[in-house]
Amino acid sequence: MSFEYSEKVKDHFRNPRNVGTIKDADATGRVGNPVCGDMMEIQIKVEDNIIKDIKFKTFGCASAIATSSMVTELAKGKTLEEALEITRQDVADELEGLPPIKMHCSNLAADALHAAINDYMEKQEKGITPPGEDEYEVAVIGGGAAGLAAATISSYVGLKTVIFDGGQWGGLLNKFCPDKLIENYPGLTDKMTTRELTRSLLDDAREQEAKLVNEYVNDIEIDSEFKTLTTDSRTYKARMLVLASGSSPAKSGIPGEEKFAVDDGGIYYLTADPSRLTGKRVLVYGHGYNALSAAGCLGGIAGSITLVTDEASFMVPEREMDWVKCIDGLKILNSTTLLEIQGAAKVEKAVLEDQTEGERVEIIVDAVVLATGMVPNVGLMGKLGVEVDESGFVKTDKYQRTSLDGVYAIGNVASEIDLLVVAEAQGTIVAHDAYRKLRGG
Amino acid sequence: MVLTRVNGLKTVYMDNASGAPVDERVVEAMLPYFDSRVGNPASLHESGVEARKALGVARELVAALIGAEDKEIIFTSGATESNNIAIRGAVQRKKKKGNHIIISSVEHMSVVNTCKDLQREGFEVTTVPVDRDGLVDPERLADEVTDQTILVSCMYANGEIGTIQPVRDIGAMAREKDILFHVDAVAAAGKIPIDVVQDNIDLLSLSSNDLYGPKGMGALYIKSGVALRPVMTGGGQERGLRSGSENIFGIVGLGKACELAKDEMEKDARQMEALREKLIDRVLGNMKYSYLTGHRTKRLPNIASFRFSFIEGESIILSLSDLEVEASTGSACSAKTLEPSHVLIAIGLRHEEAHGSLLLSLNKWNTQAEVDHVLESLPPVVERLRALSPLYQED
Repeated sequence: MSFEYSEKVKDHFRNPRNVGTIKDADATGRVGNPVCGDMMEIQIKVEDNIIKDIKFKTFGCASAIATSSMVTELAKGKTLEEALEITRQDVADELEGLPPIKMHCSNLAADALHAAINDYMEKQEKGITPPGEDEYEVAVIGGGAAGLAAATISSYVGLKTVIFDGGQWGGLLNKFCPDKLIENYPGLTDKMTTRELTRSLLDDAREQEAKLVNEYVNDIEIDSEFKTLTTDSRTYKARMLVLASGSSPAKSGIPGEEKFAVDDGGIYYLTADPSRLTGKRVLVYGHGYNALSAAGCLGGIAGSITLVTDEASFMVPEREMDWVKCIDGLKILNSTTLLEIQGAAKVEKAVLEDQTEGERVEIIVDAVVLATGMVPNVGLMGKLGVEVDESGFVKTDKYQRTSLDGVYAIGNVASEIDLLVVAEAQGTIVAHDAYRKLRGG
Repeated sequence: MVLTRVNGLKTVYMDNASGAPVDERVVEAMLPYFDSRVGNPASLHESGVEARKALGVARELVAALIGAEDKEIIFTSGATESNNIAIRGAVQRKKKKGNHIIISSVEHMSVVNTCKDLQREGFEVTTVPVDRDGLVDPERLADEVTDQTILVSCMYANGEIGTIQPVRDIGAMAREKDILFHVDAVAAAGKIPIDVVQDNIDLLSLSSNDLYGPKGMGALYIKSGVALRPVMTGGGQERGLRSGSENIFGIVGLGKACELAKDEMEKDARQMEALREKLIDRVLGNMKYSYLTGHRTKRLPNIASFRFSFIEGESIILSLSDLEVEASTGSACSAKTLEPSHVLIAIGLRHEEAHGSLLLSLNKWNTQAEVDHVLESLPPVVERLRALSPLYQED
């Protein structure tokens, strides 16, 4: 390091005060330095013109973090006018000085505080009460590729949009080989991993200022004007609802599955975290790209991989097969049925039948990964009576409209097509259709 | 003099690309030249002869490391000087033939800024981009060659992201087109085998400290028949290219360091590579939103380089330092210029992504236990900083 920090800076960096966000904050100040890339967010709660509570979050170097922490200490309990008097120099002085190079770059905390106070004063003038932000034009349920595309483009066309996902943003994108380069996305071929695409999709959604809510939707009510969505913490209203809740691995019904499909029992589904199978002898059973991908992800992680399908082939392009065939310790068995999974407390062996020879073999395994199919997550919408087809997918027209007025379905909840481009395209179609309906007059 | 500096280190030191410990056998070889062996190689008396001999032995040892002949080596004060002597010397000598220089976008600042300076003198410089892994495409580079091109400069490997360049292919192209080829081999030398003949290299820069030799010492290989114009003038030492009395103990140290590197490189590389792989596998496997920078396989054995989303590198380094791990970052916040590393920008990272970079550069003494300590220390550091970051939303 080309400079030295004071003990006080080090202390505030190591043990920052007032970190976090305020749920019912009265105002927020956010400042960033585009050259440095630092970003600070300060929230305040004001009572009788006094800063009662203050919290910060900061992306940046040690001095950015320490100055944020210090400014919250200085401002807490002060009147708004007093707090506005706090300068960058005051913050630096209280910290027993900053290295000269950091004085301008990473000393934005006072600015963030002032921004928060100004935000508060503006709201007071306009008579805006902070909540009441819960009304949206478009609400998207599910933060996979389809949902994020819908939310991003809805925001892009100017519709006020919220998107919900209680799990990990990116949906199945995170589950299948997050570090594998995407090969079948025209224009992006071999340029990005799914993990990077997820990040990029999220960046886009934030850039367009779609509201991202990391909570599950627990309840939906529909009336003629609004869809009302309830999460653990609050209620949202939206004019249009986009169902992008994806699909989940189906039960295979193979004897033994129920018994071992418990914690550490040895049965996993294709969306399991591969690291849980480190060093294990794994049998992957199923069909098509899902089975192939589930096996592929285990390369270099599992001790051995036996990839089994009861069909004559995996029906995937040759290049995908080549990828999997390169994996050390992977063996492929076609036209072979998994009859039963056996063991005492945990999976110990799998009983297989070769269809051509009619021969039965038992192989010793520690775990079985099942990739026999996916079922759409229709969930709450099913109860509201949305029409589904014979396989359980939500029925849609060419604009992805469902049987319910103002409700769309996109991605794997609406079709078995497992293609990223299609999911994103459906999200885009919906955004434009919603725009026409809401703004077209 | 303290000889046990490696074992004496109080921290888990993984910032060896910035400065590496000196091998104690190198120190031992140098010691006599501080007191009992005082001669100047230019002197006629016995002490002078002794110094001349030492110089000759060191030159042979340096040459042997890279498959060169002893007369093709000159001693310098380090990589920056070697790069300056090579690039400035070559283009000044060749300027009647043309005025065009090609470099890659991931070169060391002593190459980048030397070329910038030459631009002010009227030379044209083309910077060839690298791909996301930091690799130069030799065909793409060949496309930039014009009838004015007199020099191509491309590093052997990058010390910040570890990527090893297709030097041999670039060299073959340059040789075929009769263009001088300079290689900055500072990060690669002693880590991977280098053969200046097979690699078609005309000029190659080395640094002593990257070979566990003394700091402030380097060498430049100049292929027989390649003429340079001196950058500084004086008494004519080192074939007139590096005037000034020889730094005899530095030279002896570098010679010893090269000898050890040649004998022990394979074993050391294998050992560091195993540690590097463990670092990479565990970090990428166990830590969310962590990414490797540089090529996955075409990579120096001692470089494990990462970036972590939503957080900043200086904060990572200081937090790790509290846990007795010393590493470095390409974050703008840690640089005097407040600019992120140009190498990270060259591989396509945005500023805020380069912000979260972490470089763990190993030395041959690093141990499994030290790697385990890093792997234990890193996740809580990253987690804590993410909890502070407004950009991070918990999954």
